[in-house]
Amino acid sequence: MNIVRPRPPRPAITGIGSTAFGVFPGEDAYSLGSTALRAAMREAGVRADDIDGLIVCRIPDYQRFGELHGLNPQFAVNLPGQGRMAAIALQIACQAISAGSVSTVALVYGNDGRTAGMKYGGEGDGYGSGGAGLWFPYGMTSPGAVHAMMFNRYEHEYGRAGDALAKVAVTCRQHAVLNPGAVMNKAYTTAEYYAAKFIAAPLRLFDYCLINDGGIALIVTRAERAGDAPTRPVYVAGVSTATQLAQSTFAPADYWYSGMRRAAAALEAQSGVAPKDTDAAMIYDNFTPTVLFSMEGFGMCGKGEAAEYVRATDLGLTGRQPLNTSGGHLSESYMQGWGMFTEAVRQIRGECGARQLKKADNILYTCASPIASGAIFSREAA
Amino acid sequence: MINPDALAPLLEGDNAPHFKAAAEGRLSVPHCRDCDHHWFPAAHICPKCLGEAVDWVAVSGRATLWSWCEFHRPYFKSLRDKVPYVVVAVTLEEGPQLYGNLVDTAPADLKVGMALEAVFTPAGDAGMVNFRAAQP
Repeated sequence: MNIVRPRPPRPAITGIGSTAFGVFPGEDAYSLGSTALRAAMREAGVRADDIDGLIVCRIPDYQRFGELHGLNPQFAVNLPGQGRMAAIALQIACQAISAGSVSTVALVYGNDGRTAGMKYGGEGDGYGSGGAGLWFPYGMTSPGAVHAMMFNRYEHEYGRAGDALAKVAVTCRQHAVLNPGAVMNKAYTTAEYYAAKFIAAPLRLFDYCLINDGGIALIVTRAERAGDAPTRPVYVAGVSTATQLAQSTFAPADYWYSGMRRAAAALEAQSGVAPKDTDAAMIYDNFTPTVLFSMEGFGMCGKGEAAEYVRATDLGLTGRQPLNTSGGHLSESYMQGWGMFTEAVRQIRGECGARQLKKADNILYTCASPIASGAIFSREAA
Repeated sequence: MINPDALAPLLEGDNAPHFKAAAEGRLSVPHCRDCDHHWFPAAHICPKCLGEAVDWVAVSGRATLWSWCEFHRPYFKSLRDKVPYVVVAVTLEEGPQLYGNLVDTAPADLKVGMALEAVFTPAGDAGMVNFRAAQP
């Protein structure tokens, strides 16, 4: 259970950094993470000596990474390269700061998956509880196939989803077209979405996220220190996680709904803001069906109602709650949630150019997975 | 390690009893003598009661279809000539879930919740557990 206490001061993000996104032979997770970290440190105006917590994700060795940057933090944590880890990193940082044990935490993500030839189906498939190799003889591999099965069952339970997946994919691409940093910048139509080949039917090519290289870093600090930074701080109003690990070799029959409901309730209790009332939703879009599942789990609509919600809702930049303003994992960059954090910060700061939202006071991040998670980024310190 | 060029179940490791039993035409899963829970993949304790009285038992092979998908991309070289093929996720009558291939059944006839039955397919010295529509 997530424990709800009187609200402590909101930790502040005072610096972010990101690399370009694409294919970068010669780079690795260390160098990509390093580029991002140094950019974030410059923004936040912090030196190595100021960093008293280090959380690295998808970077093989925290020790080597710390040595490369001359860091001696109080604590160091290494999280594996899974999308569900982004909010966990933020949660660890915020809890450590709120507990008073540290002041400034560096969060660093480095992903050289594209250059390293990472594949999420076949021999390298590590998805699922303990890895997927057990099922290879049946040709069962890839998280995409698991999500294809979930969506197939979802449609059996709740009826055909119509063009909901297509609308999610097309909308994210439209947003990426307005994002100069996005890997994909060519719009496609709904007809082109349907014309693309099946990968694991019922899912097609554009239901799948990208695979690319890149790095992201954030500097999170205690609220009282936020004023020292040269940037406008963005506050973490809430961050929560809830797991469904029992029997998780197989996807749950509720599509992670119960975990997301727990995470959403904790998020609202911490932040005082309902996820559905935020100004934009950065929904972890590894595959288009998870966007539908997440809309239900985080209360944008009722259980089983996401397809109708998507049909009836403007998910674009002029809508009430725009979806994945950067283009998300489907079209901006596969930074496993981390790119959604930087997008939220940039939207609140007003740095998003052609895709800038008129109102960006509170921005939601959600992730549907065996570790459901959410965060709300806010312009306000309290 | 599984050989990606010649996919076959491993006859070593925690799940070997499952694939050895399949070679003999039995569907075998771990079972807790204390609380009567069945599960899969293998675990050295019962995930329900954390008891240690674990053995492998044969189960009925009766199952219902949880869901399925159809692979169009061959993720392994040895599957290049087999796409598109169907993988089913099933729930056994005794509770555990399994993935398997669809045999003797047209994909167009699949419906979530339909009754299936296990079919055993030899794979070298091991056996694979596949599924078809339950025969009347």
